[in-house]
Amino acid sequence: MKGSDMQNVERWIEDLMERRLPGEEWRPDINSAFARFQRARLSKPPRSRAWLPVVVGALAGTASLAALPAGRTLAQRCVSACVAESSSLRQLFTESRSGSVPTNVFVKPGGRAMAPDFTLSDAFGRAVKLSDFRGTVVLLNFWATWCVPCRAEVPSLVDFQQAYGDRGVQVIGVSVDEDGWKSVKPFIEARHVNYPVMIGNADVARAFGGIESVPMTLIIDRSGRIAATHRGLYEKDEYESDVRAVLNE
Amino acid sequence: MDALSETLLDTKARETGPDIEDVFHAQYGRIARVIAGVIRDPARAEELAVEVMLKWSRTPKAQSENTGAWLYRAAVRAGLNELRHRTRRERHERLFSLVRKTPTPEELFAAREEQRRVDVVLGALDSRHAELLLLRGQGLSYEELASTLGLNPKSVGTFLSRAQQAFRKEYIRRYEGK
Repeated sequence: MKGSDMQNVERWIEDLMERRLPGEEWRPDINSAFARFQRARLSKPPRSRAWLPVVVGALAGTASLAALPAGRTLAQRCVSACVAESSSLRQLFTESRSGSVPTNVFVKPGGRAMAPDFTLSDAFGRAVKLSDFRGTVVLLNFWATWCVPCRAEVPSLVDFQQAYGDRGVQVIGVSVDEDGWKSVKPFIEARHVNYPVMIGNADVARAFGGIESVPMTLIIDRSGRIAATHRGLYEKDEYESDVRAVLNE
Repeated sequence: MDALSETLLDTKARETGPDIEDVFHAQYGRIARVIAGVIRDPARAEELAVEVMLKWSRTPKAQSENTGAWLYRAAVRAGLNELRHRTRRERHERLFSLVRKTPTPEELFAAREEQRRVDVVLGALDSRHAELLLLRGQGLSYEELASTLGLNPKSVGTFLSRAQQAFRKEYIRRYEGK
């Protein structure tokens, strides 16, 4: 084949291949893909050819289920399987309702309740007391390393602390991970978290009326009163505008 | 944080290997695009891209080598597999549907008919050839093709023109010879 023919073939094929590509305007939905990825990664074990242990396991599982008290419904069994993994601390905080619609309650200055005070140790063992931050606007973020939306919030909180630290704003993270620093420390180190992070306990959870779900974020005004309570993923634009409103009071 | 502890943290991050979440965010879009370019179905491409990322996260060897290259390879292979399954399925369906229904001229000559032919030809080609053509179509340079497919950079040009000839031959044999 002649050189010019070769070039034509090359052009023809490249053109065919190029036309297969999705348009520039197509944007894959990374966030929902990541949620699917995490769900599959955490729930479905890698496929294995060793089917025998699976069959044995299934038989054993059926036998043990049958042995459970008859009054328990299947749903209760599923719930207890999830809760069995967690410590007593986790039971105070129910699992993340990442799929639920976020709710945001912003209270005007006159109607605000005082935020309960607490003292917890940060990653370096230093005591951090909430009331020591009077005079600053505090963004108090309850989170956990196992909660996908919580993890998604961390980088923007780091940016926010960086941008608003000089303007009298302090981000504080309280983790509800039941294995404490073991999970939290590597996570905050890898993401260069630039605000204090503490491990919560049952007393703190109770003081805040029980943390129903994570992430949960509170904005506390300069006098230590709760200005906003946000449940679920808190978009940066949203908390930025809420914090600004409190800063301007 | 002082400089020393920052250095220690960086060292630690390197030792613990890539963070799965970071890799996912950095690579997913590209991988989905590669697959969409192979199978021409963005929605299905997104599903397959998640499967490729899952396979990567469960393959320790893949995480120790060049992640980008491994993912490209896995993506284009996943796409080709899908393409072959689809072509086989369509052939079966056509075998039955032809009895009842003759395709309209519109169906035959629609623009997408050509791309359906390309699907068939790509599915019939040797995998190496198809991978090379598809990745080239994604705009990968000779060097990138070499590192992704583990080829000698000097022979990429030769391989590529061989793949193009194979494509042309297969296309003519199937669609223009008759």
